[in-house]
Amino acid sequence: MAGFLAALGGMFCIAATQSKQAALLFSKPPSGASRQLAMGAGTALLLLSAGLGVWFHGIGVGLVSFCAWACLAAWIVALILVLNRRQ
Amino acid sequence: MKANGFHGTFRQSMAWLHTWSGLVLSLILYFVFITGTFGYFNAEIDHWMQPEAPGDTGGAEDDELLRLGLDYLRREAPDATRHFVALPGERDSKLVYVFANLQTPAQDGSEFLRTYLDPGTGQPVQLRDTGGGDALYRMHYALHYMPYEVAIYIVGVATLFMLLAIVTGIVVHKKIFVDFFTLRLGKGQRSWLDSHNISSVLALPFMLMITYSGLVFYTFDYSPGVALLSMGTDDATRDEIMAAHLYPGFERSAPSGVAASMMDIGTVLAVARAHWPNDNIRFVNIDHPGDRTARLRIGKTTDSLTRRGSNLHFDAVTGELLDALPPTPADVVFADAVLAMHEGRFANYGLRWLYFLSGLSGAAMVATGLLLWAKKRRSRLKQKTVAPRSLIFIERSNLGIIVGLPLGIAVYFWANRLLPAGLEARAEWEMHSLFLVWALSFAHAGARELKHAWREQVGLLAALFLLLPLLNAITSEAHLGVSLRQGDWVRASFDGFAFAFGAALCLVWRRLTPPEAHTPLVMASTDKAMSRAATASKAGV
Repeated sequence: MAGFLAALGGMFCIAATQSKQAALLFSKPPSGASRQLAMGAGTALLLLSAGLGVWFHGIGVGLVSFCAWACLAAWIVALILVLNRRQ
Repeated sequence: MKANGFHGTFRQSMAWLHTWSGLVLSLILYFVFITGTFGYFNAEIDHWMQPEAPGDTGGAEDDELLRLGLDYLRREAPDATRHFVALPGERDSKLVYVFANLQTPAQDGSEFLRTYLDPGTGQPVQLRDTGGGDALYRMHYALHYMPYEVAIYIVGVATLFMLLAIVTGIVVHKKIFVDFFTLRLGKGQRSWLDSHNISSVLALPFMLMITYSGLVFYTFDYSPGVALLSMGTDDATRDEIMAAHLYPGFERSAPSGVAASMMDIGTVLAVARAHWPNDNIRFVNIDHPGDRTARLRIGKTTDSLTRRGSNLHFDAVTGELLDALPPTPADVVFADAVLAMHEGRFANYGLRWLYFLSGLSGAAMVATGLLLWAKKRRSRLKQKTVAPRSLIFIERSNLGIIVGLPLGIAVYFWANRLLPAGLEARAEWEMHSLFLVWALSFAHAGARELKHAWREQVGLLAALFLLLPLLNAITSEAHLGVSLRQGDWVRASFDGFAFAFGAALCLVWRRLTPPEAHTPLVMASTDKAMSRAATASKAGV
């Protein structure tokens, strides 16, 4: 669960670095520095998620789990953005 | 890069290849994705489709169940060359599986004894004849109504096209990172393009893995030259070399012909448990039972990518633990790991659901690609121009492919409950019902006006899944009330999933174009969206 939550956080941060997505997530577009910070945090969280997968399940199953978590997390972010777009 | 290739620039050529490699075999790809995705829950579907099977073992311990199976085999197949007993797993019906290779064929000509035992009575259970989840799973590589050898080549070619479509899709998708989370609904063709992109890109690691590993499964069938050149043309010699390579140190001992009594199973199980304190025993296999050279193998459940170290070998007479087998060659470990990833063998329920969702994502990728292709051609037509027959054919086929197959599968589940228990070749009739309904779906799509046909078929699909738990309650004693009370979560989850899926389809049905509107496909599109979409289509996706 922790691995999935880290992946979800990572995907949110990555989404915040993209201008179109950030416009849907925040009322004011984030500054360049904030975007860089989000990119760093997103990468770190995704690495943490992969690390947690490997830590708990070993290298093989861990990496498969990480890919699955990242995929689901990306879907959730995309669907949240769809809802925000409609409001 | 502006160098002209086969179809304009490099990217345009790749776009052409992407479109046609995906489109030509899309029917098979969609079929493979849908049936293969159901295969991730084959054991659970088996359990639901055999309501006679118990949902618990009545508190019996593993040792008792193994003894019960071995006793049955000693009684019913005393001169067999092999006895095998498998314990019920977390996902299976709670039955003991027994298998024996018979030395002399049985009365019906069978060379095997194969049955399921009730854990309470130790007697064979009379289960209804059904294809279950395994039949759906098997169809994703062996298809149906055709020889296995032909089917695996058809699926192999389709898989190769799929790999080509994925790689070219990555090349043509210029904004793969910018559009990573982008899904704009209600914008006509643009929405279909977004749906196609998002369903492929977000599950891209899965798509690449499942396609590549699918090809690895039949390496020697798809590339027979490798085996022929390296191991010779004689089948027997090739099999021998392959067996020695795949299972080093696993030569089967010849029977001595001298009778000997077998060591008590409890003794070897205690040794196995000392080796695997945190794992469950999965099976016991005895070669040449009752002979002085008998060998016993115990296997455990495994949650790792490879099965290395998941078996222990014993002398079945003395109970002595034999030396560990030599290490498996690296290529065999690699192939085993790749195949385990394809099948999700190691996956717990959480990961199994993610596999399932990724599989559905693959099916959605094919389906949205088909709809996008038709929508794009439709949008290029000038007003009042009659659509070409090929486009009309594709639009109608799309409905038969995308909704028809799930309709067939829903009817397959209904047939399981409605066909008479004593019907001859019952399992085969379940399958006939699937294909019959699928064919009817194509006929309906061809005969009805398309917008009505979409609504009707999606509505019927929703109703069939929504009412499946009710049908189960009427026709069996393993309905939701019973399974919840008994803690049979596998069966309860199947009913719950069917209901939830049906409810979700009701929402889709409501969103479909109402009969009074006059747009041919699912999502209504505005002129503005169409103009944007036309611009987007110039990107060549």
